[in-house]
Amino acid sequence: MIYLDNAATSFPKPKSTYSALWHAIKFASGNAGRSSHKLAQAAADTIYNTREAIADLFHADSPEGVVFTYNATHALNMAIKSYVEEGAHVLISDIEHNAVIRPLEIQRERGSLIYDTFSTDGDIEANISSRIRPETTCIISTLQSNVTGRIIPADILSRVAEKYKLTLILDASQLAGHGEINLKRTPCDVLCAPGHKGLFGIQGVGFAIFRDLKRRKSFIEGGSGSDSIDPRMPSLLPEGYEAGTLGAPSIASLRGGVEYVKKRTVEEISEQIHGMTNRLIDRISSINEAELYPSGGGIVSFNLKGRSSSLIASMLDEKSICVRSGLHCAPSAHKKLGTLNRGTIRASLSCFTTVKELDLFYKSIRNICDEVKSVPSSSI
Amino acid sequence: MNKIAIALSTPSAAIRARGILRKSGYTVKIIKLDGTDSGCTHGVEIDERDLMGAVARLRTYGIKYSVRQIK
Repeated sequence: MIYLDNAATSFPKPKSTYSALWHAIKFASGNAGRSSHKLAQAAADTIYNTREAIADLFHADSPEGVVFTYNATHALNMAIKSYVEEGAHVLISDIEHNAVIRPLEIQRERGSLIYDTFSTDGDIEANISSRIRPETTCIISTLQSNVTGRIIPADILSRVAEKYKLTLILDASQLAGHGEINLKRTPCDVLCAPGHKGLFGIQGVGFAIFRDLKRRKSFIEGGSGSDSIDPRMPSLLPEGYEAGTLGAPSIASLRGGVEYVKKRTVEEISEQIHGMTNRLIDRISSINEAELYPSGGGIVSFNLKGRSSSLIASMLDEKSICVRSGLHCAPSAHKKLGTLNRGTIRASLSCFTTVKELDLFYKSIRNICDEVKSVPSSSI
Repeated sequence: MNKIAIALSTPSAAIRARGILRKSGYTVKIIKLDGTDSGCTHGVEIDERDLMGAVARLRTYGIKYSVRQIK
């Protein structure tokens, strides 16, 4: 099998992920923060060590600012619903994922906020500045498009937010583990990321890194292991946002993944992925039938002329090649590309992708071009 | 030696406090404490003779705490 769907979830994981997961299930399967017996304490330690590993990787001020969630969508919902005030005007990039658009849209429909997009073309700082209104309170932006791989420089977003004293919420779903994110150099209020993509945890874990250790609006309520008589959630992080039992095994797997990334270094992984992506871009662009869209940073988006992206993905699956077709839950990015009607075929790489796999993928695409040549495009 | 508890605001704060105190050479373990006005809480158990030094370390790190007898 050739797995090129790492932007959806990474596969395979490094050995450190599997061993951390196994160790947690075997030796740390108590309920963290609830009891004080050895198994519960082992789970609590596993979780806290993962907070420390994440805080260290992203140069965050404190491990207590690392709040665990089920995924990046959960983290973004938490950040948006906790930090965006009633009546606010919010600016988002024009390539956002539905994990940002939908939580905003539901609030817009209720009349509690309005939002607007800024262009990621040209001078981003000027684009944002020109959209700011007196009632603007927040900027929300992805750091990397999941459709094109385009990276939005965190330093620009951080600088603009600081200049206009705006809350900054960043979505690092694609960039975490694939590109340098340094919260000391480019601070933001909340950085959201999944654990199961470039950081190589298993599915079921994500996180938000908060700059302020005091909880804002409550997002989810329930048991937190402390202050049980108080009917409100604790005011301090991370417990203030973490209600109910955390998924210690998935969090442990994330620590295993983060350890791998730290050992390899983000810089080395980034360099490898960019090099491999460029190789694939060169190959795909040499195919006459291919319509290649802006691509980079581990993501190559394309279509075959006149063919449905889903059909080609399905044909690739028959050859045991995993890619994703369609809109990738990011309609605004597709609107920008002009591919809203059929989406794209997205091949997404990880540092485990090999040159041989990319070459086989390229050959398979060439073969598919020959296979569909005789079939009128209108019929598929 | 008698043991005494340093109560912390959250389970995470207790883990952080334990790390700081261990690095400073204190023998500590995390314990769950019975309910107070606000309910259950977590803390660290420490030798009574180490208390003054330990809480001074926690103050250095800005960690809020209270001291409780272990009965």
